[in-house]
This record gives sequence, structure tokens and C-alpha cells, in this order.
Amino acid sequence: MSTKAKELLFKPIIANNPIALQVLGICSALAVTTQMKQVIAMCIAVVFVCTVSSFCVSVIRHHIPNSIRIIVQMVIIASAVIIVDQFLKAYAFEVAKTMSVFVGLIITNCIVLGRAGGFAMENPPLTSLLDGFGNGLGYSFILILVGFVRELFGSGSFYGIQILPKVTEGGWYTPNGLFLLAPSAFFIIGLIIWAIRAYDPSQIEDSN
Amino acid sequence: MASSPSTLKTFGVALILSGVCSVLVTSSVTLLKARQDQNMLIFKRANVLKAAGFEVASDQVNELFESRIKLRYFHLKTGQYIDPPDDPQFDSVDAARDPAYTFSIPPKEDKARIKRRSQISEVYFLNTESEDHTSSQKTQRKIILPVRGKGLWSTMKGFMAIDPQSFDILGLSFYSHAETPGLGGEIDNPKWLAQWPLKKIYNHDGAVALKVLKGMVPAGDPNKDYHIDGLAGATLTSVGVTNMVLYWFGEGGYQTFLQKQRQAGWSLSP
Repeated sequence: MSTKAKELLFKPIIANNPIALQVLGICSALAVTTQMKQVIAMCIAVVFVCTVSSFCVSVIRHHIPNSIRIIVQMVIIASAVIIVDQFLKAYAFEVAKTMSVFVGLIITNCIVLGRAGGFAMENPPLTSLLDGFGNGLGYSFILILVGFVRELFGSGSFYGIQILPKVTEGGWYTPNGLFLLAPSAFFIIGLIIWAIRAYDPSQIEDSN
Repeated sequence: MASSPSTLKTFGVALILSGVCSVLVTSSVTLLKARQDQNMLIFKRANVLKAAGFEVASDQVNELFESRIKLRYFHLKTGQYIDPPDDPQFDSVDAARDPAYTFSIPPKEDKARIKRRSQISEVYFLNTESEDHTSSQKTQRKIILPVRGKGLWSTMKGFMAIDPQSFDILGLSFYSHAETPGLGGEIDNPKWLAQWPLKKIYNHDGAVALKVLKGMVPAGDPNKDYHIDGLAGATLTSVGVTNMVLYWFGEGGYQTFLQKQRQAGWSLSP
């Protein structure tokens, strides 16, 4: 793998993470991270949509009229999202049920449109594909971290498997309900951003 | 990027793109429809079975359902059986919005706060015919009816299994709700649901007396047959569950059907 490809793929994970550095795609990061099962399904969906839409936009980038470029990008993204949604309903029915509207809302995920509009419009298809995939991975990385913490402390489990026995089921762990509510994801994302910026101080913005 | 494409080209690109995308979307929807419908049906059947006390893997649902459960339809107001609706996918929850079946519940009677319900409903019978002579396990006959009501955030949808003679509860399951996880969301906790069997819906006067309390049912409660432990931190969800039972087993709900058919000895022919 060339250095460029590596950079495209892995830079969005820590160095230029779409959630941690650009603070995009927060709403779905709050909504679906109470259970790892949902997180994994959401990550696969976003990685697919981001990769496919970046690639498609890049393939036809020379033919997209400037006046309707956003609409064209949205149509491509929306189509990819609907296809993913249909597949989840057919092959991962249980998970799709708990995620309800949030799969559909990938359409409004700023990361996807950001990559399609900001990167794929100016770069060749293969580069855009890698960039879309890398950003999907960056998003997934944060979601998995947040989902792990929230499910562990909120429900005492990991991927649906009980790790900390709950008081209601005869164990000792009193689940912390805050972790199941949206604000906890804010705190966790905040802590992750703090950790990443402590590790890489160049990400800290100038205070003025 | 072309700097100033002609209007014609803009329209052309828009048209071609819409065409391609709609073909892709429609084909994914059409091709996957059969599988999705099958998932929905299995999901519904699994929940009926769950209320009846069977937890099975999704690949065994159809087999068990078809061998043990009989599905009939009835009219809520008259309490009479009716012929199955034309649509084999009929669902009383969806039918509540269908002009052919809808019934607007008068606000005063709308205890469950659902506004509309279907005029006809499904009813499932477990072990109606003694097909399993060979099996030594003696299973009780159960009637399973759909129930739903508004909780704190969402409409909670489920199935309740009752005894055809005493109308005692034999099981409850919820398949759809969006109550707060960990609080109201505990309505689908098997531990909580386990206390429902053998509770009584109706008191001696024939009124719905079942109630989800606030807090635990106290020891020595004279009405403990009608009382269910409340969900901690979820008073409004608990009240919603109480009202759901109150509505569906009251006069506006299944009461007419249940009494009429019990008198008639639960014959299964419409």
C-alpha cells in the first residue's frame, strides 16, 4: 500500500478524525451508541454509504453542473442510504428495528456530505473511495469507544453479553442510567477529544 | 468541473442521475421485500409465542406457530367471529389507520391514549385442538390478544395471553416501545414480566382491577392478585401499562368478545 493510500485510510482515525477534530456527525453518535450491536450496524452502514457516495460522486465529478451539485450529491447519498436500510431490514432485522430512523438519518450525516462535497468533487475515484472509507473508519472508531463505555456502564454488558451482573438480576452492579441518556455521549466524546488533543497538541485551536 | 454548463446539460444530468438512482432504489426495495415481509411475520409470530410462554429461535418460529397456534378474527363491538380479512398480512395495529377498519375511540373512553383502533382484531389460540396426544406434557389452552397503549414517550405494543375460562393472565410480552432504556424500558425485562402470569384482570364485580403499583406490591396486600410491582423510576410508564389493560379488557376493548365466546364455549368456527 502506498504512503498516500495509508494516509487517506488512517489519518481520519486519530489525526483528522471527523468526530473528534471536525466535530461532525454528533447526532447519530449520541443516538445509536447505547448498545454495541447498534453501533456495529451503524458503523457498517456509514462506512458503506461514505465509501460508495464518495466514489460515485468522484466518478461523475466532471459532469456535475455546479448549480445543482449539492442536490446531485444528496441524491447519490440518499440512494445509498435507502439501499443500506433495505438490506438491514432484510438481513439484520432485529438491529434494524432498534435503530429505527437513525439509519435513514445517515443522509443528514455531515461527514458523508462533507467527504462527497469537499473531497470527492476534486479527487479521482480511487482516492475518494479510500478517503470515504477512511472517514467511515474514523467515525466508527469513536462510535465504538462511546458505545463500549455506554453499554458497559449503562447496562453492564458488552454486545448484549452481561459482564457486570445487575442488581435487578441478582448481581451487584447498579446500572448508571445516565449512560443510557444522550448527554453521557457528549461527556464521553468530550473526554475522547481531550485525550486525542493531549496526545497530539497540534489539534488544539488557537484561543483567539 | 465545468464552469458554466448549459441549462440543457444540467437537466440532462439531473434526469439521468434520477433515473439511475430510482432504478437502484426500487430494485433493492422490490428484491428484498419478500424477505422483509417474512421477517415481519416471524417477528410478530415470535411475539405471540413469547406471550404464550415459548422462547424460540427465529428459524423455529414458523414451525411451532403453525403446529400450535390457531388464528381467528373477530369484531370488537359484536364480539362475533368474522371471516379472515382479504389481506393475509392484516394487522390490527396497522388497520387502526385504515379507513376500512378504523374506529375513532371517544376521548372519554380512550384510557390507553391511542385515539384509534381497528374494528376487528386477531385472536390467537394456543393448543386449540388436541393434536399432540402423544406429548405427555399437558399444556393449558391460552388466548393471545394484541394490546397497546401510550407510555411516557411511545406507544407500547405487545401481546397478552389469558386463560379462556378464568381470564387470568398467563403471559405478557412487548415487541415495540421507546420508553427510557433502563427505566420504563424495563417493561420488556423478563424478570418483571414473570410476575404477570396468574394475576387477575377482573375483580368479583367484573370490572378491570389489574394495576401496576408505584413501588413494590406490599407483603400481605389483600389485592395482590390484581397488583404488579411498579417499575422503579418509571411511574408514567407503569400508569400507561395499567391503562392499557384497563382499555383493552374493558367494554371498549375485548370484554364483549371474551364474555360472549366464553358463554358459547369457545367454539372456533366463525
